[in-house]
This record gives sequence, structure tokens and C-alpha cells, in this order.
Amino acid sequence: MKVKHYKDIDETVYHEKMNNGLEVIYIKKSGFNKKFVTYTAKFGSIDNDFTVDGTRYKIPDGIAHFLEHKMFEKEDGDVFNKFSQKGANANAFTSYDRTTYLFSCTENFYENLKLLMDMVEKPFFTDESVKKEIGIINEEIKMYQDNPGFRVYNQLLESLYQKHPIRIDIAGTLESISEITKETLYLCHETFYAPNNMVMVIVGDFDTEELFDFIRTHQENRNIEDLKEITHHFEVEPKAVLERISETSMNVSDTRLMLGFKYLEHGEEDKYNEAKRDIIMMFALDMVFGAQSKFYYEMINESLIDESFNFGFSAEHTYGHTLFTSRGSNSKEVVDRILDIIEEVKTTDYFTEEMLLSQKRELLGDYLSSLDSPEYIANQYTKYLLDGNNLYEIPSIVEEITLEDVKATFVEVLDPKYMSESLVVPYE
Amino acid sequence: MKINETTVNNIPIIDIRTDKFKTFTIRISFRNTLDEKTTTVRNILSRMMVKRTKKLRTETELVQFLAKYYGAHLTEGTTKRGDSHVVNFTIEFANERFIHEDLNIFNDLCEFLNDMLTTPFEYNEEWSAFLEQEKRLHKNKLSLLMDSSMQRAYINMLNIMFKDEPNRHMSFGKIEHIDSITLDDIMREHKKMMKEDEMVILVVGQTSDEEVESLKKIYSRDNYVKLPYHGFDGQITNVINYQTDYEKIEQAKTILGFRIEKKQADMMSARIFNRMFGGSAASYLFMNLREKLSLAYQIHSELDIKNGVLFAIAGVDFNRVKETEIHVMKELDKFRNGEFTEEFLEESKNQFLSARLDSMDKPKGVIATLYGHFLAGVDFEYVDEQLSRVTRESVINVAKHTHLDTVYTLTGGETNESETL
Repeated sequence: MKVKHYKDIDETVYHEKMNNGLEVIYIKKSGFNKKFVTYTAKFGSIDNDFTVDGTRYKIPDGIAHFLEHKMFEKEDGDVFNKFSQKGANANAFTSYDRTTYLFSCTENFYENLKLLMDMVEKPFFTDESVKKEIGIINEEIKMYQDNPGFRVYNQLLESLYQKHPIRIDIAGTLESISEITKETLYLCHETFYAPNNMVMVIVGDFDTEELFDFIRTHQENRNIEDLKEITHHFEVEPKAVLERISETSMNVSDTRLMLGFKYLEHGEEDKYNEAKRDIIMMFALDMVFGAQSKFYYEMINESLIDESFNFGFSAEHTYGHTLFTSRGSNSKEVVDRILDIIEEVKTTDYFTEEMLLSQKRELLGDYLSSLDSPEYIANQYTKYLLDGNNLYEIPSIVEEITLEDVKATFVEVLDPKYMSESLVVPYE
Repeated sequence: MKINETTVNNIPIIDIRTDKFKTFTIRISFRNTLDEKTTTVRNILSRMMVKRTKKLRTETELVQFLAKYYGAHLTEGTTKRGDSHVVNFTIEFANERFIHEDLNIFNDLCEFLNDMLTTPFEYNEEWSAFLEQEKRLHKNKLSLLMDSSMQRAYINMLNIMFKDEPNRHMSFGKIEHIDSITLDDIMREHKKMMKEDEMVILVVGQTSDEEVESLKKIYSRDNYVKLPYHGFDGQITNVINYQTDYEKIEQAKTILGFRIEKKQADMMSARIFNRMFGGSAASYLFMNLREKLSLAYQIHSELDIKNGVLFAIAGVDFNRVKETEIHVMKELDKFRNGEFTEEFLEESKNQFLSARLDSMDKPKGVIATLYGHFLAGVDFEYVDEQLSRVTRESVINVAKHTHLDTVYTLTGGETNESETL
């Protein structure tokens, strides 16, 4: 077991890789009542084409999310109920590249931990239960279809990407989920829920030895030795966007705009630099478009945007984009003004040392505040770990960032040649 | 965690000392009677207060000032509690202990809060354009809220169920009241809020006497104000209102509104009943309507016991609205008939305690719990004692005194199912 204490932020992390390949991380939060555990499989909505044991499989869209729902149902009943009986709150979520199961509790911790491990490790599917789940998930899909924020986002991804599975809704479609069978679910479980493809993060106040002994014994009793190698297949995504503009009508009070800039230049960058790039983009976007910026102030004053204006950058190994959301009837002018300010930043010395210092301070403050939340720590520690980074090294990454980094990254990532606009407009 | 309640400058201060957080959170709460005429004004006023002050004359200056203090977060919000309207100002910031820079963050931010609270006293014509901007932005915020079909359904439901009762008012006010608001209205409401509202300051973090000393700089009042805390008294009728509205949407949103006879039902038993009925993932609505019948993905119940109201809320297929209503009522009947196990009751009571412990691990959760105790004049021991008194009979009693009042559906279907079936 490796132990690392981060003195500046007063946090201690214990890390052990079990014999069957499962990585277990324990983060001690002295004095906290709450115990929070995440158990994550590296299996998300974009993993729909893979080879294992020499056979290539193309599986229905939405299956990772479907599997997440089905894992809670067992032969002897619903596991939600059992967590509840032991005083825990359980949940799960599926993202593009992972599925996370979690629970929090203040009592009966080891019983709940065993319940979580058994639930995730021992699947139980029947034809009948698969059929029943289609009804529930179809209602979930329809709920999102009534959400304008979701619609404008999904429509944008469909326009930005030509082939990448990120353009497909995490939940799939009614057609795709109707193709799911218990056999495909067992195949996905066996492939992606193998211990060497999973990570467990525990946050709370525990006796370290007792905790690791408990998990070690449980994992050894599984007797898993035959670990398989998974190869993921992604079609090569062209740099160009599929559509420049897309539009749909809904029952909304005003037009919703989402503007996206696709960014596929990365690929072979090392993990550390990817984490650094993400923080740089957060800084750069906030300096240009955030509440402290000239752009934001002018746009608010001119009634072109309101407080729903937002932006963000997201990139993983096979995709990347910067998104802007706005609301109002003058979406064309908003797009023009965003393009103008991007051009201004590229051609002038827009960024200053003072602005960068302010960003660094803000990030550190927010970071400290996030470390008060066991949920945040568990989820973000998992994300950074799966991306090959470490949540607790953020302050040292931030230290290194220079003005030159900020300008170079901003210019590289925001290229108007690779831009799409998604609009949700009110019914006429 | 140590809780000290004191009164300084005629303002109660609740100082919650703990070393488990890396931050400080200060909340200043103002409470007065929920009044349709003033809720919108109070929303615009609180928005203005957190954006510009006498010393920080633009939003940019204010945001830059907070950024200097390691991104201190200043927010405002309004809520409805019983028959009261509450305006909250919250500031969260890093504990200096974790910062390698010589800053007196706590003290400086208390001085800033004084600047923020007293600025509207000096509003003049120069602030008119700013008022107009905030009116526009609040209008946008409210219209954005109405873009959610569930929110539309909920607001329509309140208007039908509480037609002539003040309980229909939302904490964020009304869009149609915004245009006529003047700077005089804002200043008048501010003066009233500072003088007549019940004001409380709550602080959570690694405080010492030095921090408490700084809190004195936030504000000073001439008199201590304590206001009564009640709920609305709703009328129980034997007639069930049905209404269905039609829109182009993909899924029906159906809400069953119940009234609880407050005098007959114990408050803590009602909380536990709600957990068992639809307030948790182990509840009857979740387990039976979602997991067994696959009727809905979204299904839950919400309780406002202070006002004696319970809602069961579901997103269902257009053709299964009536079926949902029938099954929700079947689940309620199970509680009326005592069809639940002793174990489930005990689990639900434990869940309540566990949720409380859980909220004590979050600065804002601590503040919300302690503010609730302050309003109700109770402490942890009292709540524990109330919980220990919840029995099978008291839960059955709540269910028996819970009456369906209104069924509202917002749907995209073509026929009014509630009428045809």
C-alpha cells in the first residue's frame, strides 16, 4: 500500500492495487460522519465497438447506461431497498467513458460496502427484466427530450461530430435499447466489469488496515485470474464539423443558442499536459468571457446575453470541444461578437499577469472549498485517475501556467473553421 | 462541532465551530411575511445588492475584489418557509490557514458585507439604469424557469390548488410585477428589511473569538426583532379538482396535490410518512410505480409540512396518466391500512438521522439545519425526542389525514384522459 500526505492541503491518500488488478484508493477525511464510496467501471456510452478474446463486437447504443440500471436488480429483489435497509443512499451514473456506482452512509459501512461490491460484481439478468427496463429507460429518454438545455446540447454534438459515438445520447434511443438482450448485457459485464478495468475510491474516516483487509479478502475470494485485454475501436473522426447550423423548435420562451468549436488536434499529448491544458482553457475562457471580463459586461449592458450565458471546454483522448450557451432572440449577433473577441485575443496582448494571478487565486479558493465535499473528492479523484492524473497535484500544475501558455492554447483550441451552431427556437 | 448562540448589536449570531472544513461560510438571513406585493421587489433588491456597492461601483470591480480573496463566492437567494419569505446572502471563502499570503480575509469580507448591506440606503438616480438591467435579468431568469415543462406543471398546479390562498406565491416573485418596480420601491423595501425583518447571522468554520469580533462589523440594529413563525392554514374540501393542459411535449407531467390536516397529524410522523410514501429510493412510489410497474422514470413525493401540503410528482407516458393516479392512491391506501412493516418504519427513521448527519458534513447543510432549528426554537435533542415518538400508529394517522385535493396534468396527448376514464 502506498501512502501519500499532501501537506499544503492537509490530505492523505492510501492506494493499493489488489492481486486481481482492482485499484483501491482511500482518502481520509478526519471528523466526517459521512462515508462515500464510488466503484467505477471504465465502460461508457462511447465504448460501443471493441475486441475481446479475438472477437470484435458492435453493441447497441445506450447499453452501458442500460447495464447500469439493470445492476440494481437481483434474483432476491431490488438492491436500492437493501441499501436503504442499511441506512445508505445508493445511486449510479453513466458518462461517455465510465459507469460509476456509489453509496453514502453514516452507519453499517462494511455491510453497505459488501452490498456494493456484490451488486456490481454479480450480474443477474432475465429476458423479462430486460424487457421491463426498456419501458423505464424510454421514459427517461422522453424526460430529456422535454428539456431544452439537453436538446440544444445533443443537437450540437450531432452537428460537431461526424462519426464519433459522443454524438449519440448516453441513454441511446428507443430503437437501440430495444435491441438489447440479456446475452449482450452478460458479455459487457464480463468484459468491462473485470477487476483490472475498475477503480474504487473511498472517502471518510476509517481504520486504514481494517478497510484494506476487508476489501482484499473480498477480492481474493472472487478467484478471478483470467483477465482479458480489451481493444477499443473508434472510427477516425474528421476535423471538419458535420453541419454548420442546426435548428429545432420547442416550447421555449426564447431562442437557445449553443455554439461549439471542435478541437481534435490533441492525441499524443502526455496525460500531465492534458490536465494542464484543461486548466489553461478554464482560465483563458474565464478571462475572456467570464463575469470579470469586458466582453461579459458589455454584452449584459447591451442586453445581448443574460445570466444564462455560459461556456466550458471538454476534451478526452478521442474528442474535444469548447461550448458557449446563450439565450435570446439575437443569437446571430452573439455569435459574431464571440468571433470578434476571439480574433481580438489572437491579434492583441489581451491577457495580463494580473488577470492570470486572479485566476490562480480563484481556482485555489474553489479547490479548497471542493475538498470539503466527499462526493466531489471521490468523483473527481476517479476522473483524474482514469485520465492518468492526480486531483491533489492541481495546485502544482496551476503554479506552472504562464501567460504564453494561455494565449497559445486559446488560439489553438478555438478555431472558427471548426465551429457549429445549435439553435432551439420557440414554436411559431 | 460546537454551537454558540449569542446576540451582538441586537442581531442573533449562530457560530458553528468545526475544524473539518477548509472554508468559512457566512449566511445573513432576513425573514418576513410572504406578501405577493413585495416578493418580486425583494428578489430584485437582493440581486442588486450582491452586484454593486458604494465602494465597488461595477459588477466587474466587485467580482475582481472577491477574486482577490481567493475567489470568495457571494450569492443571494430567496425561499419560502411556512408563511414567510426569506432572503439569504451567503459568502463562502477559503480559510487563511491554507493560503500562503498575508491576507486578513475574514475581517475584510465582514467589512465588505457591511458595505453590501448598507449600499441601498444611498441609491439615487444614478442607480436607475442598474435597476432596469436587474429587472430585465430577473425577468429572463423567470422565463427560463418556465422553459422546464415540469416547472410549468408545478406552477400551474399551485395556481389551481391554492387559487385564492397566498400559498400559491413562489419565492422568486412574478414576472408581471417586474415592470412597475421603481427605485423608490427598492429603497423602501430595503429600509423595511433592515429594520423590521427578523435577521440572523450564521457562520460555520474554524472560528475563534477573533472571527466573532469581526462579525460585529457586518451590521448593527437599534432593536432585536423576533417574528412569529407559522404556516398557511389550508382548507380541506371533499371535492377533487382535475385539470389537464395540452402542449407539444414528449411526456406527461402529472402532479397529485394533497392537503394534510395539520392539527391531526404530528409533524415528525409526517416527515417519516413522506420518506416511506415517495420521498426516498426505498419508498412505495419508487419501488412499486417505477421498479415494479415501469410507469415512470421520475416519481417522488415532496412534503411541506409547515403548510400541510404533499405533492406526488411523476413524468409518465401520455396514455398512463389515469393509471398513475390510481396507483399513487393505492400506495397511499396501503399506509392508511397499515400495510407496511415495522422494519421499514425503523429504516425510514434511521434514514432521517443519517440524512441529518450527512448534511452536517456540508457547510451549507449545517447552516440550513441550524437555521431550521432557530426558526422552530428547537435543538438536536428535541428533534431526536420527536423522532423517537413516531410510531406505526402515528404514521397511519398522517396517511388517514392526507386528502387528495388536486390532480394536475400537463400532457402532449390528444384527449383529456382524466375526464374520459
